[in-house]
Amino acid sequence: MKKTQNTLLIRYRNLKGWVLSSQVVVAVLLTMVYPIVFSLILSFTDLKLSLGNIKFIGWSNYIWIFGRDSGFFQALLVSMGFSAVSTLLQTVLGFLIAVMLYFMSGKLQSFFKTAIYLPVVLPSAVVSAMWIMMYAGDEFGLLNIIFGLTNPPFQWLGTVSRSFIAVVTANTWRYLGITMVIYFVNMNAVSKDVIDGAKVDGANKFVIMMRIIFPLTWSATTMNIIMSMIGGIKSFDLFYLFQTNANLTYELTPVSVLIFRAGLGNAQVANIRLALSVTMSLTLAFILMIITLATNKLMSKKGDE
Amino acid sequence: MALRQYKKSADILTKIFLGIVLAAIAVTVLFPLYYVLATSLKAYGEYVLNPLGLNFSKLIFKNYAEVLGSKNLLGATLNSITVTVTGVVLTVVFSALAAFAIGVVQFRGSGFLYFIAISTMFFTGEMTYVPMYLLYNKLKLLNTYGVLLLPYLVGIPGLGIVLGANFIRKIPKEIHEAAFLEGAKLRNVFVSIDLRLLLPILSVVAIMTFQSVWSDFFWPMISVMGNRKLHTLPLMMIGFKAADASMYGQYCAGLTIMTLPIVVVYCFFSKYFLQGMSAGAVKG
Amino acid sequence: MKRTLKILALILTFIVALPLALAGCGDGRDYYEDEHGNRIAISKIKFLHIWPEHNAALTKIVNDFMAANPAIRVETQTTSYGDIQTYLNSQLLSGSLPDVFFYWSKQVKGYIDSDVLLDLSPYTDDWKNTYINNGEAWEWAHRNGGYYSAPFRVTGNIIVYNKSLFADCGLTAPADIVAFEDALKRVRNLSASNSFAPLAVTGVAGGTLVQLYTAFQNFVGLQQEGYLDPNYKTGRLETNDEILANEAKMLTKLRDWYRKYYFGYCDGKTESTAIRNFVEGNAAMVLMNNNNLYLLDDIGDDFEVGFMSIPAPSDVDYTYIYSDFDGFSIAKNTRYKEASVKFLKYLTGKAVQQSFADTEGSIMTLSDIVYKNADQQSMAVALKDAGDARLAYTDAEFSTGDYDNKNAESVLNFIMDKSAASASKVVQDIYSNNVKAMRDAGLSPLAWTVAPKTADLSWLDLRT
Repeated sequence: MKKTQNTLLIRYRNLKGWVLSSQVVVAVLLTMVYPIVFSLILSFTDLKLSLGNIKFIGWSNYIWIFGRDSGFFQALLVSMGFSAVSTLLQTVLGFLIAVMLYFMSGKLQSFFKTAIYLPVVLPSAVVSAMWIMMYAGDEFGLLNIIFGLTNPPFQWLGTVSRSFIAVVTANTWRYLGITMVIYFVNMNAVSKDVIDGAKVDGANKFVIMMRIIFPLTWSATTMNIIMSMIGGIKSFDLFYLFQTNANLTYELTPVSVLIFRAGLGNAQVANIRLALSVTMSLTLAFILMIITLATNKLMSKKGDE
Repeated sequence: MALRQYKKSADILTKIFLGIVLAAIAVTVLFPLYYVLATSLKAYGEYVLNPLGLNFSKLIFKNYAEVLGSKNLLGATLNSITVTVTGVVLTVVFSALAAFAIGVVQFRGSGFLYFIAISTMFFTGEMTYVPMYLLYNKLKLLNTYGVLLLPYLVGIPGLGIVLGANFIRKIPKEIHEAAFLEGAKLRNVFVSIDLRLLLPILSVVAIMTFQSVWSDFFWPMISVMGNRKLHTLPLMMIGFKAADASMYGQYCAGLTIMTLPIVVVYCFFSKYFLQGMSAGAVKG
Repeated sequence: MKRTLKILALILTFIVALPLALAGCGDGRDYYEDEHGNRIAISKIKFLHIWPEHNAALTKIVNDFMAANPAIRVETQTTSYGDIQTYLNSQLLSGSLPDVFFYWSKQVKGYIDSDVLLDLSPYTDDWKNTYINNGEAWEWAHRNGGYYSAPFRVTGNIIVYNKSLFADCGLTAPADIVAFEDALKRVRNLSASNSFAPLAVTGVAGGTLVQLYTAFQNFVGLQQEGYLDPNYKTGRLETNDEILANEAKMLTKLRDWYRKYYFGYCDGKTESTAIRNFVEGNAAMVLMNNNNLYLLDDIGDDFEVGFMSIPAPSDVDYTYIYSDFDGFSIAKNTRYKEASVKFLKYLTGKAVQQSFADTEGSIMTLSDIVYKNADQQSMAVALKDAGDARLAYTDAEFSTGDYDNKNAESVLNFIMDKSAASASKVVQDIYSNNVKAMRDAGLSPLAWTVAPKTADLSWLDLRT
């Protein structure tokens, strides 16, 4: 493939390429290399929030993180579990809804499309304010009012598993629109002839959906899975706001919130160990990098099929 | 004949069924929005009595008046606009340039850069703020406009690069080769061909960036809270978040005001947006 | 088309550039001329508080101050209860705390140790004397020989009870914890519905239900005079079987109360709902923050209310109130020391305190405030022990941080019958967490040097 490139292009290719992406290079240096190097150095110190005397303490921070008390691995489990479940839900539901929309037509179709996508553009403050009111465990919780009172009022955030489902629901509600839209536009690209052919052959909608549409929109599936996975691991807003403004259990702390709280968090004394927060970020970065590489390899293999 | 009629009525039945299901979904999705809007129009007493319903005789606009009358509203809005527009423009421009470089020019090391772009998407401000905050502190940029705008000047537009580069890769090589064979310079190729083609992708990037920058409150809070003239809208809204529910009406009014521009922008650009989504996702 | 695009771009650039230009403009004048023509430097101080609900009153207070002091400009910043921590800590990183900022007087220890607060000792003499309890409130932030926080008002959790309902039952305000339990039982029998709460509390982490546990712990501390141990305030005293057994009893007792529906349906209840229950007559008592007094306005003439703190065992003179002082501190590196001190003195001066009490219903920290509202007055009386400095860990040298949340959650879960563990295991785990927190700070538990006084702890036993 490279041989078909124009010779002019080859000659200046490398130089021009780097010039064009110079902003990205600078950005990488400033926002990736510098923070990583700085964080690396910091992670071997005991820097506190008060920025007082710093000492080098070797690997202590890392040892502490991988110990049982730090909650780091539990947080990792929460983040990944959340990401996995969210991805599953968003992809499957997105697909189903997109299919339903596909079989609809006209004005109704665009109305529903806009409506279902709307939550995506809302600020987190709005989303969390709504859902906190919905999940309130007293008789004024919106869900309790809608579904009628049980006695005592139902505790939507009462147990760890219920809380997990609650957060997943809120998150899915918010991002369903994205997966749906991606699937939808991909479906529209599927050539009508194939569908018509199948209809003529007497296939019902269900068969059409599974045997034709799904395989033909595999690239959309890939994109959705990757985006949902990434979004799930990053997820901060919902968990943080639910924990501070509602009674979401602290057992369900994802890594992002843990890192945030370790740095600026709710410890009232300014003896917060900033170095810990930094160490956690680095470790997380390392782990994510490995996952990215693995996923990339996996996905490209499948894509080649 | 009979089979045809049967199929037709089955079709209609399916459509009705789908319609109902979709309507149910739409209601579920839109309900919380209605709730925030309704709360913003109620006084506290009314909210306590009737959190869900809409008693038209008891609706008030006082909450909005209070928010709109805040001294800093105009300033905060202008600041939000400035930061958001700057962020969107910079992100879009740099995305396009980088996507072009990686996708068309395909220089040595572009694969590595692409990989880095993907990795940055995993991180949020809440995870990386410590070194960045300390850096801006050292540079004495805190509580100035610089700290709000610089992140977009030196930030990696991860999503833009990934979507853009992927899309460009799918453009048939012949288009570029034809242009180069005719001796066109790189920048001409960029402007006349790729920029136009990338438009839908750039719309996606623009909308996503708009939404995240407009409603970002974490970074402004820790970086410019000290200078009231630099506050953005989300920061202002914190000023209405009382510890109990007594200011819920005003808070919801503020949230609605803050959300309106996003919704408007979205509705206005949704056509391009959808085009962009489809362009980025369809297999070449 | 190109033309309109150009115009659009121009307008956009203008809109974008405008705030930049505005921000570039100075902070306003730096000097002004007084009536004699002297140039006087203007001090510009930043004032941070977390009460959007008191915005109107505070704006007036600030404006009055600026009118009387043309050489001082005050810029008010507001943040919320949930964000104050994050905000202050981030300002700590950059060394730019607001000149006068809010923080709870009992909790400024960390900031004192980080050496970012101005020592108010040079100014405190006549200042302190105007305070309740002979200025005892100042002791909370008295550390390393300096005073670092000026308390502004009291924030505490008191029990508001339905006097009329009590009278109907032939009850008066319980004088001690045993009478309190009796009252709970009697009131409980008034209604067959479990949703009726003799004592409405909030069953969330950081809510009022957990405060009952803390209250019990403090009662035992008072009875056994554990506070006499010189190391008590460090919070690092080690536990032993007797202490653990007593704590297990406390948890079991509270769980017993929960099971008997003395708290009604408290799981997941928010404070506003609890108060609402009380106002509507679905609760006989409510444990709430005193600054929410205005939420009781809806009661009107329906019934009379009374205030009390959680009653202690009969052999103890003091009552325990989960309380703190909303105070203000001054940043050490403020550029306008005199102006900040002047403003702070003004805030805690008679005029402002009296007007704040009148309009906002708060209980203030000056000794000669007159509370015109009868309810407010009884509340002030009930809160008189709020400043008791003997019982808290004012010198706690370690931060329990996230362990705090976990501990509170385990207490809550046990009381609300959601925990499979036994009471002894729960208290054991809590102690282990505290030890871990100590170890993280490089400290270890200390031994007792004083033997506990024998006291009657029978009130901890379960009763039918």
